[in-house]
Amino acid sequence: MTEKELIAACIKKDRRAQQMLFDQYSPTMNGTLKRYLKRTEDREDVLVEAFFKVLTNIESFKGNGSFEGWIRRIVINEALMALRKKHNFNMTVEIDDIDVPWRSKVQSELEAQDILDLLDQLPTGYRTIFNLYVLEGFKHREIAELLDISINTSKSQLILAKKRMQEMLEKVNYPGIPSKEQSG
Amino acid sequence: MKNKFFQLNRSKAQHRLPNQHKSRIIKMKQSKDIFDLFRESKHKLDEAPSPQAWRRLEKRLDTRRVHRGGSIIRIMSMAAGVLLLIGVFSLLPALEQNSPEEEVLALNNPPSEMEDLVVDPAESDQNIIKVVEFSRQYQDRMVQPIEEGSSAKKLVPSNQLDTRINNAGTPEDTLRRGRTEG
Repeated sequence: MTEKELIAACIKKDRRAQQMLFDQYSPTMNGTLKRYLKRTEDREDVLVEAFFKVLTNIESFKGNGSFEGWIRRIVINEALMALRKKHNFNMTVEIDDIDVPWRSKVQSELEAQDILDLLDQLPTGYRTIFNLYVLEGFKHREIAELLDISINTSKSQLILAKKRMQEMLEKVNYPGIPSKEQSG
Repeated sequence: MKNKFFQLNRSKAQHRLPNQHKSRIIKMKQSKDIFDLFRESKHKLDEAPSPQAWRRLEKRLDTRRVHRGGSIIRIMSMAAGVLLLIGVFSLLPALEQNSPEEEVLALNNPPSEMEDLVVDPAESDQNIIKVVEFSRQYQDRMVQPIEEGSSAKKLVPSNQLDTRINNAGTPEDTLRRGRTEG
């Protein structure tokens, strides 16, 4: 079944097609949510809510742009709504120097659990802006609108997030990241 | 695309920069940018959710279907109720208006019940008192037109009774005579 046929069947409320759509896109969306939300229960709640919106508003997808991108946008919006309930993105929090417990020796690329460990060390605001900018490709103007913050707050939090990431990778001697002595 | 663009710019810049900077740029080239590091690895987090997630979603979709079906029936029943009310209210004035035949019948048939007349003896004329008394007795007789009596009692037709009343003069005399005859 092609993507168009799948969408057409989902518009007709075909339950099998709806399940196929969920099976096809939910792993990627669950992976995306892992970067935003730490708790598995929270992720599942958001995933269910997001796919409910996808399936009940699927006729509003006009085919401009990728279907996966459309779903991802809904999933991210739901994740941000869940985060906004608990977190104020306008509060810029500086994290203290902490010893990062590093699970494995990273070589040329980050392992899945390493990514999660690294992201988990960041405060919610840093992590969210890092995700939106680096991994979703949003502009600072768009992030500012999404999180209801100023563009400068978005930029400064990204710089701080990157700095913190760099420091954490240095601590575990990630190959390719120049140490302070080398770079200085 | 964006990275390629920056790499291209970087290689161009190498030719322009003095030698002391070249080694530093080569080092940066060897190392991955931290953003790229994450971009390359982001799909490693992809993982199917638990089967519970689909069951929950399916349940929500079913609930919505029931609600939508229920709401359509509710809306239709409400609309039918409103239409019925409008129909009843529009018919009410027509029902209240009598047809011409009914109006003629109403004129020909006066109300069966007659109002009791109350006479104040102090203020009224004697003749009026007599007439009122007679009309009351007449009404009583209309309720019980034939009075059960003895076998010797003589029945008098009502039209003859009227002529006898006229001949006798006063209604009291007629009544008195009737009692004596009975």
